[in-house]
Amino acid sequence: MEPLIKIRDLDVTFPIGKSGFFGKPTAYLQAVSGISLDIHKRETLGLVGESGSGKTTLGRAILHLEKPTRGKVELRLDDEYVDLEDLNTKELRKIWRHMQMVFQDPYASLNPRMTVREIIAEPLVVNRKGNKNDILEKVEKVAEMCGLQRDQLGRYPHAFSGGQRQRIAIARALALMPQFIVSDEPVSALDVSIQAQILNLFKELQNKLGLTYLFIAHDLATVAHVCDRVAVMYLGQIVELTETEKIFYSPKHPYTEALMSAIPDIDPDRKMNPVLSSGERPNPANPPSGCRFHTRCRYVEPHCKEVQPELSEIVEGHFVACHRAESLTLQGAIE
Amino acid sequence: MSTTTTATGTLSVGVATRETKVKRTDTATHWQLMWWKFRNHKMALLGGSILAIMAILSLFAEFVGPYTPQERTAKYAQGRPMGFHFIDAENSFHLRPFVYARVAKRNKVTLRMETTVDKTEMWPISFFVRADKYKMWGLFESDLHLFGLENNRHFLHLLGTDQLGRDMFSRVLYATRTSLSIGAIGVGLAFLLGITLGGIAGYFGGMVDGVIMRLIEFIRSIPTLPLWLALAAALPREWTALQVYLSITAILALIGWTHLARRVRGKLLALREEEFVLAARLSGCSHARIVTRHMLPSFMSYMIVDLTISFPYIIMAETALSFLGLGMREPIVSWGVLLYSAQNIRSMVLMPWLLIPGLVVIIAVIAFNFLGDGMRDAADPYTK
Repeated sequence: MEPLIKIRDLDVTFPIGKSGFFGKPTAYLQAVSGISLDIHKRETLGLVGESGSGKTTLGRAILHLEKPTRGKVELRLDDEYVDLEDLNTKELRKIWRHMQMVFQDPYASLNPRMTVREIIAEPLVVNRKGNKNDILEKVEKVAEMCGLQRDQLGRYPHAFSGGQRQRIAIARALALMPQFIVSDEPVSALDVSIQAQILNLFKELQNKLGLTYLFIAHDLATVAHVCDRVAVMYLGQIVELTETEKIFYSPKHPYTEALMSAIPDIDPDRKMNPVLSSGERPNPANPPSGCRFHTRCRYVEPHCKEVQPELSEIVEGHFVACHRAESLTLQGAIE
Repeated sequence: MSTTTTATGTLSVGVATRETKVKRTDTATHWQLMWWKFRNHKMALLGGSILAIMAILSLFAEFVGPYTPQERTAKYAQGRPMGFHFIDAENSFHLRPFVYARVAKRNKVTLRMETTVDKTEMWPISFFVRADKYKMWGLFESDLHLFGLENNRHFLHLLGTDQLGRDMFSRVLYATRTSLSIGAIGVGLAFLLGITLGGIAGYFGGMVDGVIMRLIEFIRSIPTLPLWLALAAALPREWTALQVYLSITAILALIGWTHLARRVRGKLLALREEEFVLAARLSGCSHARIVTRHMLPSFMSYMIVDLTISFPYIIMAETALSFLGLGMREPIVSWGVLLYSAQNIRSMVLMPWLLIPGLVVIIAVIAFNFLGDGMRDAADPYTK
């Protein structure tokens, strides 16, 4: 099946450090480095990695909220691929009807000066989706779908709790009935008791509307709950990509193994046996040569320090970027 | 800012379940929240009221003041303030306030004109009297005054007169109008300049930002008083009073905008990366809509606070310039112009009432500071 979104060799580079009279950048930080990825229709693709690994930047670059420095993103629309690179600002605004985003912090993503009704209606108003009554009707429908009550719509965001705010943000993202939604750690700012509710809402909406998600997270339990496939990122690159079960049961990349061993267990008698990666995370502005993980890898060989491994398909549907992927037997989270 | 009316003023009682119970603050607009918080700041309310009264009285200076600023009562030059009374020397009460008559006599030793209070004669004060003709705001003629004396050979100087016998009360009113309006226009101009240049710098960034920021740093590095003096001294002497007035305002604004431009730039740079602004972009909003509907409203309240706080600086600057004889000049009266005539020791000793404009300046500046204080607290109404 043709993927909904094709990402090829995507780079996002930020200038850092300024000098001189008008501030010429002195160095560059590659937040996303040569990422290729397919996202299929109706799937939930998880994106995990420690903070600073470039997850959020990748999410924003896919939507072209952040312009990629290299590479391209294509969206399948009516059996044809649209290259987002070719679009000007106005055309991008139109393509965003099909691709939306739910942000991490529901306290920052809602304009405090607008009522909930105005917030959800804004994309409809701006895109001229019908007259005033049509829009109000649509707003109420989508709000109800996200678990908001009609009499709450006249209130301002400050009157709501974090979970309810995230419902509002989801309703806004859904207002234009997009096909694809980037969720940037949508539950990490919420109480654990609320997280499950919001995650279930995501699932429910996916079943009802046939949505496709890119689900960014750093909490592996969340990922296990909602994702069909998982991509693991390290220093701006994808190191492993496969189905959720395989990631948890039989990881093929040493970094994934280290991540999995860090999942806390609720059984107090069970001994935690973390496979710790030694050393600090390298500076992303100055990544190590060869395999970017070699400075912390337990299985490092001289070869790893010189040649950068490609992301290749080892078993059907299981992509790993490791020279030793086929020879190593790694430990999963669950035996 | 409307007061307490809310869309859902009904605080549902009794049957209200947890879901349907609406707190008043839930549906209140930002400005309502700000007003509710501001209301609790008593000193700010006091300051605001004082300024409002000053503004209203001075706006209708022609009507409120019994005289025009240039009109002279020659026989009561350098006259003391005249107190008004309700109870006369015989202890009988008069509903209509009155002043005692003044008799001018030449002192045979010093040969100076001296006025004495004649408690046997009373000059009753009338309200809405027809007296001197004036042109209201230079537009239409009238001769109606809020109060005055019916007999035009009598005179009423509540705050005394200056060296030439001009009524201080009326002059202070006119001066308040000039000084407050210079503050308002100056702040307005500074606001326009600051928001435009700061907005351009903050929104576009890069090279434009660099140029504007260096310009601001340059302007701010010049010592202000000498700069004002130089600019004010450069104004041609033959300019009309109105031209001088406008150029002084412009000069003050030209220096005042830098502070504001920096604030606007900083706020815009920060807001550009806010998630709700990104969400607005994704919603398909144009740049104009993002700026006007999402960015501006979220820092407008801070800007207004800034303006309130910078108001007294402009007023003080004008007062200082005029006091030095470089700002406004007669026939325009401003607080600084009035204080200019109270500069020498002689008038301070013999006519301390000439310092009343100084008192008004102090009251106005303190009132502005109280008001700004309250507004700063109210600007972020979401914090408890």
